[in-house]
Amino acid sequence: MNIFDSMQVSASGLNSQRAVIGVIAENMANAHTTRTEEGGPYLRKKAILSPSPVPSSPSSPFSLLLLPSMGKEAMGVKVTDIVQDTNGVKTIYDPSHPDADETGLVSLPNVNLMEEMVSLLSASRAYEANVTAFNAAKTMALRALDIGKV
Amino acid sequence: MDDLQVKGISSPPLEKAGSEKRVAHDPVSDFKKILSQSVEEVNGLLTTADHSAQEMVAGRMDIHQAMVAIEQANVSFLLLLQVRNKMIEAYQQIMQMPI
Repeated sequence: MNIFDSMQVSASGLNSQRAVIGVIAENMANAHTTRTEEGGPYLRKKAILSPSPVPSSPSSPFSLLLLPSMGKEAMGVKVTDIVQDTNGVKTIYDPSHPDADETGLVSLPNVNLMEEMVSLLSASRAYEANVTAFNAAKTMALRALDIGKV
Repeated sequence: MDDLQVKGISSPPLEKAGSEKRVAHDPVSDFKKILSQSVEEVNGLLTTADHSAQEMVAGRMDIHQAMVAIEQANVSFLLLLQVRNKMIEAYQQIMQMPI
C-alpha cells in the first residue's frame, strides 16, 4: 500500500460519512412526516457501511487480480445499502388529524431526535478522524521528502 | 568459503563471444523513460486536481473529494520537485569539478 492508497482509503471514509450524515439529516427533517408516497408515516433510514477496495495506483489488469487474492489491497469503505427501520412506529389518538384512520389513531415516524443527534455526532467525529488520518499520511509523505535535507 | 562472499552481488553471467544482447539494457534511456513517465503522471494528477476544483465549484463534486485530489497533486508535485533539485545539484557538482 503506498501513501496515495492510504489517502484514497481516507477519502472513501469521508465519502461514506458524508452519506451517513445525509441520511441522518433526512431522518431529522422527516421526524414529523405522517404521509409518504408508500403510505403510512416516514420510517427511519439507516446507512449500512461495508469495506470495499479503493482504486489503487498500479492498475494493470494483473495487479488488479493479484492484489485482492493476496489480501494486499487497500480496503476503503462504502455505503452498500440504506435500510428502513420498521420498528417503533408511535401511534397517537388525534381524530382531527387528516392522516388519522377510522379509529382516530395517527401513526408517527419512528425517528427519535436524541438518537439521531448522537448518530450525527458520531458520524461527524468519524469524518474528522478520516481527515486526521489523511493529514497524517500527507505529513508522513512530506517528512519523507525532508530526508537528506541539511 | 561461501560465507566470505558478499551476498547480493551475483557474478555476471559469462558473455558468449559475439553476443549482441547488451544494447537492450541502456540505463540512460531507462532513467529518461522513468523520469518522463513520472512527469506525465504528475501532470495528469495536476490536471485532475484542476478539473475537480471546477467540478466542486459547479456543484457536481463534494469539497473533500476536490481537496483530496488537490492534496495528492500537491504531494506528488513536491516529490517531482525534489527529484529535479537533486538532478540540478548533481549537475552543479559536476560542473564545479576542477579541471
